[in-house]
Amino acid sequence: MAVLSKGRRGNSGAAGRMSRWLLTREAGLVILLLAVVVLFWILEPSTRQQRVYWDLLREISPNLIAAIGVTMLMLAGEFDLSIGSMLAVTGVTTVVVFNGTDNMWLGIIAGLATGPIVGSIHGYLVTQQKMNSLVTTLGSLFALRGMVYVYTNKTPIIDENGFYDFQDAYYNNLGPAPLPFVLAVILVVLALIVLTQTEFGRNIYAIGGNETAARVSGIKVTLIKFILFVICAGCAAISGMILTMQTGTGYFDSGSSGFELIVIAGVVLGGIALSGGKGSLVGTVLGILILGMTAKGLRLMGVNTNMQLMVTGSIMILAVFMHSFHDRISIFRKR
Amino acid sequence: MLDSSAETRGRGIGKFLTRASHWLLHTQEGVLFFIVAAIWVFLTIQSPVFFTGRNIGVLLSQVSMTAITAVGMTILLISGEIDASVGSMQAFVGVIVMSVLNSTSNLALGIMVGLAIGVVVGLINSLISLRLGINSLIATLAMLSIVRGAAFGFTEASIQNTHKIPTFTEIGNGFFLGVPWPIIFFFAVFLIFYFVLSRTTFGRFVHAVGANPEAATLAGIPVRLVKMAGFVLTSVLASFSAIILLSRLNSGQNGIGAGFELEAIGAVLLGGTSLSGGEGSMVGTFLAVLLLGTLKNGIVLLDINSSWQVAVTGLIIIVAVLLDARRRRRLGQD
Repeated sequence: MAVLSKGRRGNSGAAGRMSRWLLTREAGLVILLLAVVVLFWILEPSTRQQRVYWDLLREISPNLIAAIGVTMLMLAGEFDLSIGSMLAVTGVTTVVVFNGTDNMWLGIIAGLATGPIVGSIHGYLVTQQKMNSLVTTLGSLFALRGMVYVYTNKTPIIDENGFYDFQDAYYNNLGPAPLPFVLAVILVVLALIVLTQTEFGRNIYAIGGNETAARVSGIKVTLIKFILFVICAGCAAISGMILTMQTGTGYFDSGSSGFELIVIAGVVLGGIALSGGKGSLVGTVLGILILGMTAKGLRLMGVNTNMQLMVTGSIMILAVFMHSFHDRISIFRKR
Repeated sequence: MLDSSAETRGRGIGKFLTRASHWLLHTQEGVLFFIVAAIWVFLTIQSPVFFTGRNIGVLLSQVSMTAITAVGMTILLISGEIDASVGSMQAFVGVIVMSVLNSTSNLALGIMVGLAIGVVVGLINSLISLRLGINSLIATLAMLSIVRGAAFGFTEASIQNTHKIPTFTEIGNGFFLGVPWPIIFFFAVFLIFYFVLSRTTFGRFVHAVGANPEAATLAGIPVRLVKMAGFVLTSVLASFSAIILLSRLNSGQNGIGAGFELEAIGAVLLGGTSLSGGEGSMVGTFLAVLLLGTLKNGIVLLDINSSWQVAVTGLIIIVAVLLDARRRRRLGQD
């Protein structure tokens, strides 16, 4: 889309650029986000404090980081449903290694390593064995969760050493910004550079747009998809690490209440097409922020957790409808 | 397979054997049949309890809810759409039906209301997916949240059975000629829709719509209507499952059915139905449901830590998809 608007030099100048921007997906999402913020500002006085927003950013950092991987994978036309179970795998591995070795860094390394390991398995099964990624990762959603259940016997693993540095990392700030959010921003910027400025990123879009064409034109589809599965599970492992920092425990049910669905909902809300090849990471970030703000606002208003589900669901339908409406308008405009 | 009887006897048997071996070796159904048979033999040897009428009755009753929903889901997936809201339906239909029964003590009315909810939710799903043009996975994921929220909005606690209608308890727990009712419902639903899918015009339309919607439209098939029928059917069958589940639990619980949609959709995909539509098998779904149920049953019988149930379900899904992928490549379909 950016390429298209660059080519159209007709109405240049700030006003022209502004009016063109207002017709993009991201603009619609920014407006939706502002609408949600303003709505809660009016309805719920407690959302008028700055602290609420910093808390929100801290809380949604894991979702944001996991969404980076999911976005890159979905842009190439593949899925990973197992990210919720990955959170538990990472958390349990980390704390088990903490307790076994009494060494914080070994635990963190082991926990983070679970991501690339699981990601390579997914990558191998999908790219080499030609398995459908949605079903494969649905299978590993159950398999990983089940293995965590078997290993922990459904009891949380407590960090016996009580590594405070580890737990503090979640609650500490860098200036006014929460550390987990700083990490999320760094990763988002990195991914954004990769997606928009490198050949690798352009290849991802090409694969998602038309895989056969991409293969014929010499793009290493198999290798790129493999790497994307590793990145996606890796991002999920980082999210799992942050959640483990928050509680200081390896929790067997971490992410079991629909983490993958919330993240995918945010990604789709952000405008990533399910068939791949279309959408931007900025949209994903906005999508996650909208869902996070809605949930937080409703929680502060004391709305029943499950009534929050209804509102989230409705927002999803609204947003996706907005996207399809936007698509129809842009087709009209091109003519 | 049945029309081999038209052949002369000798050639008929030969043809039957050829077809049977083709089915066993070259189809997803065959692979599943092989796995299920192997596990059944293994469990029969390992546990004296497994191959008894009582245990098989328990096994089949337990899978009947997933199976009935999966039958509708098979048709919907073949038509190229999906419904992720069936899990939340288990809760929503459950709490509504139980409270209707409690307040009216009218069994027929309760069941009618339950099935009517299925029709309404199915229509909403098809409206959002087909009219608004939103991908049905996303639309029904949103409905999953909305329907679950509605169940919690309706009641904060579970609704107990205060109506004491004995017939209602029979639906999930009673027997007919020695066979549990859920199994009879399950087999009836399966046979009806096996027939509908393979022998009727509607069944052919479902395949055509899923394989190539544009071509189907050009051929004069009412694409939207066929897909809408798929959505409503899946939702109604999910409601039917919910009523059986409600009768078995004897209380309407607003938290029930989380992950039910993954199990039902997983079973359909495991049975060889394509996610992209146009291709699928009711027999495959049946065998897949049976496989998942057998594994759970076996884990209980062999006294293995019940946590393994989840892990084994996942591993079996991966193995089955792996076998299917290898088979496809061997046949050069992919």
